Amino acid sequence: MPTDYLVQGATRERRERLDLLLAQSCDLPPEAAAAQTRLFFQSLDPDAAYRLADERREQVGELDGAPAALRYHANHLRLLAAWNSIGAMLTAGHPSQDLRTRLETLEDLLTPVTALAVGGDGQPVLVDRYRQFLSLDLDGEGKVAEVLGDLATADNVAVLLPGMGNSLETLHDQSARGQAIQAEAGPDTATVVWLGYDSPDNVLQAVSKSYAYDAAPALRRFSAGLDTEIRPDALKTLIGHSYGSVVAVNGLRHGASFDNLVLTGSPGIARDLHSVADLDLPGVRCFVARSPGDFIAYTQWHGVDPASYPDIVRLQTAGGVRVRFHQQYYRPNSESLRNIGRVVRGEYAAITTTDTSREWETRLVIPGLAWGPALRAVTAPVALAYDGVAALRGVTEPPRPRLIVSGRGEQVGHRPEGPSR
Amino acid sequence: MTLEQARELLRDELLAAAAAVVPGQPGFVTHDLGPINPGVLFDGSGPATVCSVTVETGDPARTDAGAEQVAAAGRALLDRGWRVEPPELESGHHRVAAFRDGFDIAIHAWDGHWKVTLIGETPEL
Repeated sequence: MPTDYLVQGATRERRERLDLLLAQSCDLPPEAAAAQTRLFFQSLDPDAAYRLADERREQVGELDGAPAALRYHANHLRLLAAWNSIGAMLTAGHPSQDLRTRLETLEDLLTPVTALAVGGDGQPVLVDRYRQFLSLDLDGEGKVAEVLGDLATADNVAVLLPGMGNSLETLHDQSARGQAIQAEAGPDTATVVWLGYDSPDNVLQAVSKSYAYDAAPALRRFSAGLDTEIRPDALKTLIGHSYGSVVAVNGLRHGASFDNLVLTGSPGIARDLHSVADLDLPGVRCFVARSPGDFIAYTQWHGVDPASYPDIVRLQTAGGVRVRFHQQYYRPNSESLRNIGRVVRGEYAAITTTDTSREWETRLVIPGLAWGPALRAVTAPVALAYDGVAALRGVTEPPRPRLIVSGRGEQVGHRPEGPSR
Repeated sequence: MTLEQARELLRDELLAAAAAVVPGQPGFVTHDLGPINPGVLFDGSGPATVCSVTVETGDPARTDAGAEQVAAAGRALLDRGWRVEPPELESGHHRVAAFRDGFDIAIHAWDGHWKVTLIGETPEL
């Protein structure tokens, strides 16, 4: 049939154009590759674009610069295929706890979420929709980026980076923390939980910066793709907790483009960084939170605690809800979460700040005992020795790319000035 | 109290508060993931010791009623034995914070938007 011939020809041409795009993108900076990818998809009619997402789901699901709706669609199909495949393996008699765990994870990721919408009668109604995965890697422990909210219309976009011990299997819990940020930042916000890197499995691995170094290019590519999806005037905030803070700064120093940076419970970034000026992130507003008793921040394992930088905005954590130690920054109603919401919304004048010392904070947690400095005294020589060994083994920060200033950096100047301490 | 009992209690309290926002209209549970690890952002391998639940409600015809709606939800919680902070307003963001026995609830409404969001978390159990 002539019609069949035409359809087959169009399909073949579409696939060939995608292959060409993928081949050309390898040699381009991430920002140019994402922009070229977006132009390619804009040149397709919507039906053809969805057909391509069906046919080439592995590529489209991961393709930075492809429209988010297509990536959500492709990644949903990939989840379904993996669920079918693992289910068949288990049915065929391949008992494996890892497979069973992954199957449960896939079932969780495939379970629709509910949202409140306006029905045809003008009344609120619950609607189901599939979860929105902007990227997905099912190999090994897995990598993933989940979107809460609508990227294309959001005034504000927050990207949350978790720390160690995380995988596809823990996305369930990470998403709950993303939801806490989403609720706090309000309906004009979209929040992305980004686990697009191999997270260290445990503390022993987290003493190495190699995971953050490896993550930096991936974060830059993700950021470049995100910029093709969100509004040009959307305020973009990167939030890193614990080891995620090391990943965040390394990503920014290697070209990921954000307006704001929020670090919570940071174990330090690098030994040669002592201030925001040292970070060398033009146009990026930097904020940090350290709660009383945060033993991870006190170790300063990876370098000077950013809460000690003289030119950083230090977010208050004390308020009506007690925030202590390393994992309560995202409690509902806490001043730390309120301040994160204010940063994400760009309401800088409302941010509350602090300048408490480690001595004071640790005496607050254990009256009469300033254990923060003592902890640092123990960890400092060990960390230095570890860094020496790591350097001998070739684990050093990769060279920074020359392309740092981006379109987003130019927009920052139009926004109100941030607070100072 | 088990974590599951705490989760059920939190859901009931959030729904009771949401029912006060728009008379005659129930709240809608939009997120209830079950037990989660509160320290997941530090260490994903930690235990799941809390539950977080989100309930939403609102009147689609009203985008300017945030102050009275969060106050109504707060009063409902006060009547149920919660300690409720006075309503706050910050740049169009209406909020009420409520606490009881280690449970936290945050009630949010925003000028120009019709939804009221109630998000709560159980104590660590």
